[in-house]
Amino acid sequence: MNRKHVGRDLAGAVWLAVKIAVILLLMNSGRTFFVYQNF
Amino acid sequence: MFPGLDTGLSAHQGLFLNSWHFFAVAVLAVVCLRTIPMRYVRQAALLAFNFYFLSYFLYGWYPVLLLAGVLVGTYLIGLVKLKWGQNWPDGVVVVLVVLFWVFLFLVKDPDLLGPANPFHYRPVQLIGVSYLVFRSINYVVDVEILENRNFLTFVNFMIFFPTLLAGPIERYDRFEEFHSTFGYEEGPTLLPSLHRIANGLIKKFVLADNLMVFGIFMKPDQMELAWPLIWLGVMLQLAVIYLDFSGYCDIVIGLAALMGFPVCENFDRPYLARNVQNFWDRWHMSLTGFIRDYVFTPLTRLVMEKADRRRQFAWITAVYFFCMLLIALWHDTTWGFFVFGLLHGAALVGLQLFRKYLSPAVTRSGLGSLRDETAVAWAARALNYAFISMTILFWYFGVSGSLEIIKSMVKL
Repeated sequence: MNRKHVGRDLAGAVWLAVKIAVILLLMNSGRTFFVYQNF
Repeated sequence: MFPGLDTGLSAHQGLFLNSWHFFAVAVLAVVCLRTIPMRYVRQAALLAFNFYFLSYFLYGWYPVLLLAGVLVGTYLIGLVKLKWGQNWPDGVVVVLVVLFWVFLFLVKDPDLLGPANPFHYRPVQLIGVSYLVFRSINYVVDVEILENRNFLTFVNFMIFFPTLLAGPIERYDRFEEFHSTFGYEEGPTLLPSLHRIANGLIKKFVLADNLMVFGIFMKPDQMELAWPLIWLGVMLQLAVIYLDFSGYCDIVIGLAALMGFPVCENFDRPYLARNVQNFWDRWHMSLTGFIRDYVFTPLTRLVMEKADRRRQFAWITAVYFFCMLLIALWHDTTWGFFVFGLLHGAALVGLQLFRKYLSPAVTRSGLGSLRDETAVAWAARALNYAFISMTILFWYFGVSGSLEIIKSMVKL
């Protein structure tokens, strides 16, 4: 694996961490439309 | 649940995608399915995870027995069909498919047909019953051309836990291919799948659930809202449902890919659709694909074989309408969904009539090139988006409630 790939994976991992932070901070559950209805 | 969350439901009522419990089960399932080298042990582990997940949605013996009946019944029908081979009449398959649909409607709505419905006095909550029935139809109709029809593969296919709640609707041939191999080696790598799950969580639990607060859903009386807010709320309908459902699909598609089962896609940017038919080509694609293969195509084939040549167009248009009504009523057997199906069916029929009778004249007049103009395309997309959003009102507000909202939108 060359440096370019490592850099891209690292950037991807950081971006994923940002998304997880957004999820944990802003999640507002309890108002489900589709999921958990008896389809 | 994650800190600060309240779904309003107790832990005994399911295993929620945003719970730490589900997270732990998912991680364990991914690790097991990616590392266990012996095929049958890996498949048995998947079976255990499927039943563990199901156990949180089945209350009492009644739904368990019904589920067992569906599983064993479908498998036995498949065996009988295989044994009969060429002697199995087409009519029997048609009757079986119709019976599966009737069973689905009777289970989903115990009040349908009143006391004649066997579930009327004893309703049953069988989670993902639609997906079970769709998979049953897929298995029974196509059993001759399927490979690896052993019972373990069959049961894992029927109750595959990531897609059991709300799809996407997988087909047996695709499932068994990855069931017998290390499917993740052919799917996306770890990081893209994790991003897919994170994107789904953001769409579902951050965007959709927060947007709903600003829509008209959470208001005690939406008629009290200012006129622009009513418009905003109505126009948010499609956006919220898209984020909600496609977010859920992103989560399960990402999870299934990590487990080695790259399941089919369910959405293709439906908000870009230029007309109703194009919308259904892009929305809940696994459902429309299922209806196309197991309802629309057999019926149109029947029309081509039996109907008088001059009446074939009328019959095929009627089949479009019927399929749309079936899709609508599958969601729920209410008047609101019935009207939703009528409106979408009418739009589809209108589109077929336009294509047959007006489109050639439009092309001859030279106006046909307008279709390729960017402004015209975006106007069509905006109109289609508004139409879909307004028809979705009928899901939640019923016929009279929706008409009241539409009246207030145009200040009547």
